[in-house]
Amino acid sequence: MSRVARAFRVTAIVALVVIFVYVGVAVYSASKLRGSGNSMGSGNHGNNNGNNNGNNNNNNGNGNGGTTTVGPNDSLIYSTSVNLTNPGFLPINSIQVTAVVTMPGGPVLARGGSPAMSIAPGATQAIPISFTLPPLSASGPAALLVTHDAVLPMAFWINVTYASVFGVAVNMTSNFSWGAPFAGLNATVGTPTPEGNGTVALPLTVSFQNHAKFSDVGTITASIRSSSGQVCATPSLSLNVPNGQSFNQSQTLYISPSCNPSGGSVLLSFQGPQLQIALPAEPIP
Amino acid sequence: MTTEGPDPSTYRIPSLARRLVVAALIAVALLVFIVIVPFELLTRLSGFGIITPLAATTVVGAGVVITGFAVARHILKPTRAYGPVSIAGSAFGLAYLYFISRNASAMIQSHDATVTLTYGTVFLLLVVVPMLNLAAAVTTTVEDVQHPGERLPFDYPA
Repeated sequence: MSRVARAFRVTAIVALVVIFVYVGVAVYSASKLRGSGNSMGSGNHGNNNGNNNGNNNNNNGNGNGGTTTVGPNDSLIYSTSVNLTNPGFLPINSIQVTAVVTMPGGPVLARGGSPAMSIAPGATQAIPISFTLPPLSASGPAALLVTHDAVLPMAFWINVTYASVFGVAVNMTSNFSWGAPFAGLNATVGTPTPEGNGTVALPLTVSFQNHAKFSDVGTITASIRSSSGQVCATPSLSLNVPNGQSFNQSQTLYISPSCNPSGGSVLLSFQGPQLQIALPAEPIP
Repeated sequence: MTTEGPDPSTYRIPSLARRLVVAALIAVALLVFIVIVPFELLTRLSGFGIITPLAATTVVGAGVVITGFAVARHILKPTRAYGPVSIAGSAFGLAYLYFISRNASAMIQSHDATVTLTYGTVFLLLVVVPMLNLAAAVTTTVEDVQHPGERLPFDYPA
C-alpha cells in the first residue's frame, strides 16, 4: 500500500508540474495577442443584395468607419469588423461581442454584436460586428435621427475565453456617431401668386443634407394641405444625393384657388428602392 | 496475523531534530510561495487599482494553515498520526483551492471601461493535486491501521 500512496503523491506532483507548464504557456501565448481596429472598409460598399442602386454604403461619411445597409422592413444594419491575430500556441476558444446603442438619456435604440467565434493558434480572424437600427420614421424614439445628427451612447461587452482556462470580460462605453440622411430637412412653401388661367402658383423648396453613410436615392413626395386638411397638391421630387452632399430643389406648383395652404402643412415622405421613410411634417406659415 | 512491526534494522527514522530542521525548510519555502508572494501580488495589484475579491488576509491565513499542516505532516511522518494529518491538510488544501477558484478574478476600471480577468479554471485544475494527496493520505491511514509501521522501511529505508 505504501507504493500506492507514493504513486498518488508522484502523480500529484506530475499533475502540478503539467498544470504550471500549461498555465505558463497560456500566459506567454496571451501576451502575444494582437488586435487591430475596424477593417471592413468598403468591403460591401454599395452592394445591397445586388439590386440597390440607391442606398449605397460609404465609409467616408461621418462616424465609426463601418458600413450601413438596409435590412428587412426598412431597418438599417450597421456593420464593422475587428481583426484579431492569435500568434500563440493555444486557441482563443470563444470571443463574442455584444453592443447596445441608446438614444441620449433615453430608450434602447439598437442591439447587436458578433457571433461567438474561435481563433485557432497562428490564425487571424475578422470578428464581424453588426447591430440593427429600427426603421427610420417621423415618429417613435428614433424620429430625431431622420433629420438630426446625433452622438449616441453605445455600450459593448466583449467576452473572451482563452486557452480554456482564462476568461476576459470587457465592458466599455463609447459613442456612436449617427449622420442623419435628411439632416436639416426644410420644406418651404412660398407666397401663392394668382395666375391668369385661374390657378395659383405656389413655389415649393425642399432642402437638406445627407449625412448618412448611404446615398438618398429615390423620390420625395410632398403632400401640401390646407389648414382644414384638404390636399392642394402632391408633387414629387426625384433625388440622388450621395452621402455628404446637399439637396436643394425648388418647384412651382399650380393649385386651385379654392385650396389655401396658409396655416396648413407639408407632409413629406421618401421612397427609395429599399427604403421608405415618413419625414416630419413642415408647417406652412 | 501478526501485530508486530517490521524489522527495525530495515528502516532508519530521522531524529526529531533533523525532522524539525527539514520541516522548517519546508515551512520557509511554502511561506514564500503561498503566503509572501501572493500577499505581495495582491497588495501591488491593489496599488495599481486592480480589484480582486480575494482578501490578502485570507491568503495569508490559509497559507499559514497549509504550511502548518505540511510541517506537521513531515514531523509526524513516522507516526500513525501522519495519515489523519495528511487527510486534514489535503482536505483543507482542496477546500482552499475551490474557494480561490470561485473568487479568482481581477478587475480594472477606468472611466469608460471595465476589464475583468477570470482564472478560476486554473485553480479548479489544481484541485486534482490535493485530491491525489488526499487519496494517498487515506491509503496511508488505512495501511497504518491494518499494518502499523509496515510503511516505515519504504518511507525510511535503512
